[in-house]
Amino acid sequence: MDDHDLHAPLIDLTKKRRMPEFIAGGALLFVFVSLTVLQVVTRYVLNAPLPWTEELAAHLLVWMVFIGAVGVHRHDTHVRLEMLDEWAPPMVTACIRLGFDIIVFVTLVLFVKSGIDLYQSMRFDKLPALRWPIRNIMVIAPIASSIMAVYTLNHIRKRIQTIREMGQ
Amino acid sequence: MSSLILWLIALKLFLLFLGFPIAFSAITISMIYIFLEGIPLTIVAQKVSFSMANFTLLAIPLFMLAGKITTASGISDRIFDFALRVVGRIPGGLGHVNIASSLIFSGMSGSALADVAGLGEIEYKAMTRKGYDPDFSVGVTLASSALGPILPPSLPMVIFGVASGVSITGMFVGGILPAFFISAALMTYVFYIGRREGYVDKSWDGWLALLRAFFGALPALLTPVLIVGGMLSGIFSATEAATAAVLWILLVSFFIYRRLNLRGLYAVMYESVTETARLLYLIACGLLLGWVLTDAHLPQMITEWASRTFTSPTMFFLFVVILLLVLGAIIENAILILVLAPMLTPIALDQFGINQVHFGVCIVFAIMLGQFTPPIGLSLFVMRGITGWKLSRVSLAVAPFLIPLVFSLLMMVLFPAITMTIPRAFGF
Repeated sequence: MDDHDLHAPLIDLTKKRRMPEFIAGGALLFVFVSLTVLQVVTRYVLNAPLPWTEELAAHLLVWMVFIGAVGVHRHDTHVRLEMLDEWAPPMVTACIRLGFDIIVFVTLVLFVKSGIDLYQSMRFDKLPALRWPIRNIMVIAPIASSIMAVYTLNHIRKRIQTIREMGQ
Repeated sequence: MSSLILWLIALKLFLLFLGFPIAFSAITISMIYIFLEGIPLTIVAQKVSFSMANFTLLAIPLFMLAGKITTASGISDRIFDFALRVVGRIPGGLGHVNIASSLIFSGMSGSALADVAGLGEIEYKAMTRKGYDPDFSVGVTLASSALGPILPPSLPMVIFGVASGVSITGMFVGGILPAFFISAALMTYVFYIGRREGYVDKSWDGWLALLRAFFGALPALLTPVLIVGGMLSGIFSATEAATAAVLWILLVSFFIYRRLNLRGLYAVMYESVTETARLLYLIACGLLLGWVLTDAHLPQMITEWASRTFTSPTMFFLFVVILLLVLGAIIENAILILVLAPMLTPIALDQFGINQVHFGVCIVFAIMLGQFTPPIGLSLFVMRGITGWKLSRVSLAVAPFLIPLVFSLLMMVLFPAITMTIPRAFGF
């Protein structure tokens, strides 16, 4: 086998990777690995397991998912079926996508309300080991959803612009 | 209430087909149910956020990172080289190499997509360059990627375990024999085609070359041993095993293969977060929908119907498998597992006495076969990117390989020993 021929597809290092959401997520990924290593080391090597590593890692995952979801939403790259894009005329697709964006916007606004209500209702709840207020962890849900709602408005604006251009 | 939830499921499917984002479709449908049933809206944020605060779910980004590092580090060509020297002389040649490479790679990656992305181009290029039919090459490359989620580690098994409470370690161990069984079925088919088409390569570089290739691939071969051994001995949980896999593969990539640098690692972590966020947000929304379906008593409705309709465990199991083969083609795998696993697993156990590990492994494999059927089959899209073909041609190329794959699935359902021999030895 000639080596250079096989190595082509590895990873494209020339691609720009600068979205702050994913950089923050990458940092959290590093923290997860560190916390899990710390957990195993303190359990088996020091024989004195730390009670908070698992709790912290699990709750930071909530942050990573929501921060990452903002990045995914910014570029509108959520998982979805693409059959319609191939089969239907572009104008029809654009109109349907506009309708969907409006539904997503309403959904996100309701999610923000739901998150704020949850935040207010959890005044006294604390994490068992860390004793941190749980609501300080869960606050990321309404924050991320409100940013996503703003991005959705931008999607709607662009979609209307595209439809207008198609109409002309 | 029952008709409401059925209407909402129909609406969800309709929205999905029109291209509504899958994650948002789960939230929107759940919100409609919650509003109509007069349940406080707070439940939405509560279920989505709290469902994520789960230490086991952390295994998903970590296994994903391990798979990405594997793909980026060039381990795949060492694996391919070793497989070439072991099975390359059997009629069907590179077809067998393709399958054996995927089997080894699946011990490091945990998903079919990672297998296609990591090995697909190498395998496809090597086969077509040697004069193999391109459709056959694409077919065997895609079909062998089905091994990814069966041999541990396995992302779908982690999701299944989190959703249904079935032991992840048990399913990991339960996937070992089926992975070899599926490989044997695929290799039999490739052998038959190889003989017919004259795909035979008798070249032999000697034992020394084989030994060198073995040592080249040894770090890769050791990864599943580390993961499964650590979990079975009770040293690691699934998440800790994922971390161990990440550290091991990093060590191998940096110091043994020397194919990854810090810039590459940054790119790998960035890409892992992108995919993790997409998948886990989908899972969080899917768990909300799962709660809604439970609140609407859908599991009870299915249980009642199943107990009336099916008289034997085998009939029920076969029905579920066929249902999943169909649904796997139209619904995203993670959503399918999240919604159906918690509903069907208790029915399988309580109503029909089917072992949960056996059920879990077969269900995961059945859902994975949906990767090869349009419109949702994500592996098809990856292969389309590699070949530049139309999606329909990629689908047709893999279609003949569904025969050995579906045959393997049926055997696994009908003969539990294929799945359960190793787990039973460890008390599952």
